[in-house]
Amino acid sequence: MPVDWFPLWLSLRVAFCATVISLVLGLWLAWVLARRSFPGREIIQAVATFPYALPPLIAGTYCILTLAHSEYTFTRSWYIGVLAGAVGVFPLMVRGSRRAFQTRNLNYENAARSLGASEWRVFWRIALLLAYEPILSAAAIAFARVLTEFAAVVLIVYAFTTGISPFPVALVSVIVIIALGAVYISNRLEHEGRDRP
Amino acid sequence: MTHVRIVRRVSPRFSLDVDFPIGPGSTAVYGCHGAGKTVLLESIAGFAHPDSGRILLDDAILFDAVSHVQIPPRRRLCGFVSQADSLFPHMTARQNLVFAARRWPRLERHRRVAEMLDRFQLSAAASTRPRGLDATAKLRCSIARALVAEPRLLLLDECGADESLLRQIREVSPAPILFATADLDLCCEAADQMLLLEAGRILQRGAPRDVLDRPASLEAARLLGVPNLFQATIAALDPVRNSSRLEFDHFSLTGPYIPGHLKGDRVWVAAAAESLRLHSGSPQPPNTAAVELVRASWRAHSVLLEFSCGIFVTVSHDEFARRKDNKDWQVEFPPEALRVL
Repeated sequence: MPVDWFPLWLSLRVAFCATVISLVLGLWLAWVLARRSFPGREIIQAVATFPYALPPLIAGTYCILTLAHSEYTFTRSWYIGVLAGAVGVFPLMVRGSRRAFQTRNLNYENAARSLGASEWRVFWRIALLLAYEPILSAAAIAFARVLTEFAAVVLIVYAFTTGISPFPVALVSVIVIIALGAVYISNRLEHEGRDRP
Repeated sequence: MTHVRIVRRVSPRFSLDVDFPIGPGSTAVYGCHGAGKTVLLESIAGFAHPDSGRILLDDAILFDAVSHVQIPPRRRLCGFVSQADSLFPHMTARQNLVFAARRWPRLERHRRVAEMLDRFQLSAAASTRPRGLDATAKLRCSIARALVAEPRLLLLDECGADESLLRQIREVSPAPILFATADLDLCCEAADQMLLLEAGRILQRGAPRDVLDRPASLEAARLLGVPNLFQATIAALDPVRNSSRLEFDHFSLTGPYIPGHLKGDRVWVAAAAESLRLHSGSPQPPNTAAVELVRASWRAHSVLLEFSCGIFVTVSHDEFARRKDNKDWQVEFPPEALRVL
């Protein structure tokens, strides 16, 4: 029986979009939290970390309910999964990026400022280029997590709606291999970032 | 006018409180570790925010607590070379300089960068990343990068620049230099003015020779490493002969007249180890103290002799070789060598 690869493409699309959204927003918030001092910073930090405290079941259930109410039209409701995934991995991105910005030497940024560089230029030309390995490492982990979580949800829904059970081994294997690859890349990036002077 | 008057509370136990002008040429900030040199330079550069005061650079206000003016570091035009390596590790030496020369048009930028690389003997290493440069080349590159941006004030924070490099900087840039150092010799060699900084306060400022010759206080003398510091009682004062009689714990000496003091006052007296003379045998010259040799410490160009009563004398290797078998030692204190603090 031919394998239907639709759940894989959908999960990859959701994981990619969720990672990009959480990366962009997480980077911005991490930079602000690492470099700015303002009232309420700790509260914002707690709110940004709160999704960590939410069990994945809640996000998953929310997805299932949303998908179920959309008459199984996955193509139209996949963005809900993107949103749930982005919220779920947002703390991962914020914490990973913030740690990267904090551990990287402020010395380089101050040197750039003294040379007349704007904050925008300091961020893009110095801070981001010096901290990209830990940031990409966090992004890779986030991608793997959204991919596996969403794939599990989709496979369950897919199995119920199409009556195909058990899950196709080939499909699950490919998803696991991709997730493992992302985790491997994440570890390599983190290792390289730590070794770089 | 360039003037710094700032107060910055760093911790409950340490605050920086300074007020001094920065003249043309080089000004050295001398102090030991933890004196507040880095905090001072970072405050001028704009990386740290003082609690109060004002910073003027060429009559332009960089910081004023009263009117809430706080010019960001990028608009201060203060070149800053830190003690830690601050060359961007992901750029080559040339790219580091190009980053600093951003505000010039393309051709002008490349001309300036090439000229600066050439002046600081970095042309051969222009395509090398910082990790491939040795410590000296890194320092030259950091300074060249700071200078290519044409700063109005150059701040060097214990970066390891020696006298020849500071001279080279002055040939390239007319900007005043404020450099922090814990090297007293460098202050004498390269600075036009020096500040003695201790625990966030300026103890003394002036020309390096004047500061070294005439420490203004006991703290300044200690910071400068004057080894002979004694407490004495003024036994006699003679303004006509410009002399005084000073009673120490174990000996008495004739010193210069001490204005502003009365007979019986307790004062601190400093004497540089190089200004004292050694004698032996008899007759005993005037203004000497008979002492015993406790220890001899060999230095690169001299020998530091420690005598009883806490007296230190520096002599040349040859002189020590001639006198080392002495049985009785006498240390002469020339009146002009005694500084009453």
